[in-house]
Amino acid sequence: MQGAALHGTLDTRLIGVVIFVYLLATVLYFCYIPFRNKWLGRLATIVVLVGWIMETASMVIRTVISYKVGWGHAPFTNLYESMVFFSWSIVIIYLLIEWKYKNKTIGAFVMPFAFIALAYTTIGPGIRTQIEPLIPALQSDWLIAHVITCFLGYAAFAVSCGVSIMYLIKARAQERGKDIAFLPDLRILDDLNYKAVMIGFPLLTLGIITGAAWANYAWGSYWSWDPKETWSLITWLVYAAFLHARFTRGWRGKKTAILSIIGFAAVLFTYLGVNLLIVGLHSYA
Amino acid sequence: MKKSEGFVGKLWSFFTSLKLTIFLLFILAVTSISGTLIMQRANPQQYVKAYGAAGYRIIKVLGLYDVYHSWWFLLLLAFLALNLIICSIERFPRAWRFVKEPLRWPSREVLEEMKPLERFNVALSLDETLDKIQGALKGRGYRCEKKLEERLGRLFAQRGVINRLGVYVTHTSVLIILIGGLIGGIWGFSGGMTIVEGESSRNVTIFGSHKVVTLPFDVRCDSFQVTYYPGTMTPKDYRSTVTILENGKPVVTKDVRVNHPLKYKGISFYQASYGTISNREGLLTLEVIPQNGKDEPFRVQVKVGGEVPLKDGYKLRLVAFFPDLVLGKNNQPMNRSEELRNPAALLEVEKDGSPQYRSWVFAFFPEVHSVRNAPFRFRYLSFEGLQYTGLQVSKDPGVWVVWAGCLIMLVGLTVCFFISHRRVWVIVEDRGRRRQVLVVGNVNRNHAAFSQHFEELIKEMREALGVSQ
Ligand code: HEM
Repeated sequence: MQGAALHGTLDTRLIGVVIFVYLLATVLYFCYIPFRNKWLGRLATIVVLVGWIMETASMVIRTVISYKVGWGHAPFTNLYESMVFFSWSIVIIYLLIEWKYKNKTIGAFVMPFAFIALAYTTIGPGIRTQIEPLIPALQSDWLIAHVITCFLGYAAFAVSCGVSIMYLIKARAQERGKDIAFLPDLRILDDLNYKAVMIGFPLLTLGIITGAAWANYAWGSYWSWDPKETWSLITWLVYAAFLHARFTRGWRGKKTAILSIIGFAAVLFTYLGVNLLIVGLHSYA
Repeated sequence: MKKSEGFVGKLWSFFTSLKLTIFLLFILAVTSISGTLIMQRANPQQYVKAYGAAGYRIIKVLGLYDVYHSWWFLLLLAFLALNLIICSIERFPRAWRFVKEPLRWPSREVLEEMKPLERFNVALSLDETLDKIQGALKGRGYRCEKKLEERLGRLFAQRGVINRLGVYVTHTSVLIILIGGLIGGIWGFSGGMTIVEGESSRNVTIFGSHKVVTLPFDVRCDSFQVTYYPGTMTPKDYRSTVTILENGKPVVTKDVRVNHPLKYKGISFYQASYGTISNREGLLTLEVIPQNGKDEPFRVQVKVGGEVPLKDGYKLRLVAFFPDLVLGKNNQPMNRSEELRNPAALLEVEKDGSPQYRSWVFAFFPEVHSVRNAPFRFRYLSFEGLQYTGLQVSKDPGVWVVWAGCLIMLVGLTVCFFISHRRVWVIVEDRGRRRQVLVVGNVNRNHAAFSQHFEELIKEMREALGVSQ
């Protein structure tokens, strides 16, 4: 049986480079924090941008290869491809926030997520990097809408988690009478936290809806309490609680930062924990 | 309703509590976890095996074998719905007043307390000043109202007032989705049917129970096919050709594929599984390769249990066919499934009525031959078994209600998160040679962005009025 899958294609080799580019960017952001050197900051942003463009190219190449061999599908169909897209989403959302809020210190706390997601593709258990043909259940346009919305949402939540960690570190130092001056103001961090959640929540909602639409189309039931579905609902409920705590009960600062971190833990479990620990319709393996 | 008396009043205030909302959202999240850790809708033996008899008793009492349909989970959902409805009844009138009777003309004293605020003087006439300011506001998407008093002109401008209703749209959508789910739960069903090629059926076995629903029409499976990606074992397409028969007359014929269901009279048919009936009417095609060095290979076809003559008085019998061969206990060959995933056949070669040798052939391992130095070798070419298709059958009259709810939720969230209610009040006072202008703004969310927006607005007004910065 020849041709069951394509190994070691150009796109995966490119990703191997991007991993190091993101690591370099993370290091640069950490160096930027104490020195506040303008050129160092610019360099960090340029490095991220270069990495992101390479990552985009990798996904395009992968799609092109898959069309060339006649399988023709967008690169969102297994754990490896989704990981690459996850880190891609984190970087684009981060870049938008950096551009909008003109603050580079956040990079040190967000870029590690993009780096870890990619590094995980090389060491994680059961991750297959080869290009494979698509089984019938995955041959649906809903899949593309579902994956894109979910992962952009996850990326926004990753940003809110990174910002919340910064908040807790800074708040803790201040309680002890010290200040970590290089971290942004607590007020700014708090604000960014909920802004990121306000981007993530509608996207996650859309992701769940497109998933339901797809399930309904493919299996005849929009909701079957499969573990992945249930965990995405759990995540959604946690962030709904976050929004209500913030808007109607006036929770601010530490409490919402912790809620954000819990929310992101639920995201990670939905995405990875369910695949690794529980078997269901969604398990990619 | 203010502080209420009596039981109903207490109950009412219990359900207006927002602490209850957060509590319910959390509790639903936490309890939902249980259903992802404990097997759902398994049979009692499986629970006893996994958790012991005592464990099973707890599972049974708490309904943990079907968490999401258990009485307490449904009760939590009902509480959420009540909380939502009662909270909305309490708060909606205030939001509606914002829309219907906005605070158009507050007193100057009230306005002067607000922020952001800006004052400047203009040399133009009162009318001209008002017009220019109105033009600047309209250019920014505001709706304006004007009021003229003695030596005084006022403007009230607002945009995004719809944001005040976004929360109610979102919450209504949650209720609509819950109602849609309820409709599906009461009047819908979901089950499966298996139909052998060429046969028809009208019975659907409901999932998670042994109930059978009888459809008001017959479903016939005309044929079933799997195709594979060239050169691989990865299936590319599962396809059942299905015909609906009303009173024995065919009315619709359609190919049902994964992601391409058939809908008929509100009932949907989805390709879910398939199999090959290996012990009935299957026809195996083999290539026979004589090992005597002179005869050419040739093809034979043989039925399960049947015989076919080879050469030189040899006969071939197909002893057994396995569509998906695995080795069970004690290396017993057995079928893992009825799907053609690892087809294998056990052959017996006879001569003059006495068995000579047995040989296996495998579809995916053509080089494996179980016997050496035999007069014939065999190669698996194909198996035409009678196949059956497994269709998932479901009817859900609530599904459109759910989709409507989802759409409304997306609209509601957009209105909640990405629109803010911005208001601007302007007072222009005629002070003889000059007109004094007071501009005050207000927003209900995202104050930082509004401050910037307000500054730009003031700049535009000044430019339009020809006032230096
Ligand atoms: C137990 C049920 C719920 C109750 C009683 C409730 C109640 C409330 C209340 C009172 C507000 C504040 C409205 C205001 O500021 O005037 C609010 C805001 C909100 N709720 Fe709910 N809610 C519930 C469930 C949900 C759910 C399940 C969602 C999920 C989509 C949701 C989404 C929102 C959103 C998006 C806001 C707007 C926050 C803002 O922008 O101000 N609510 N809720």
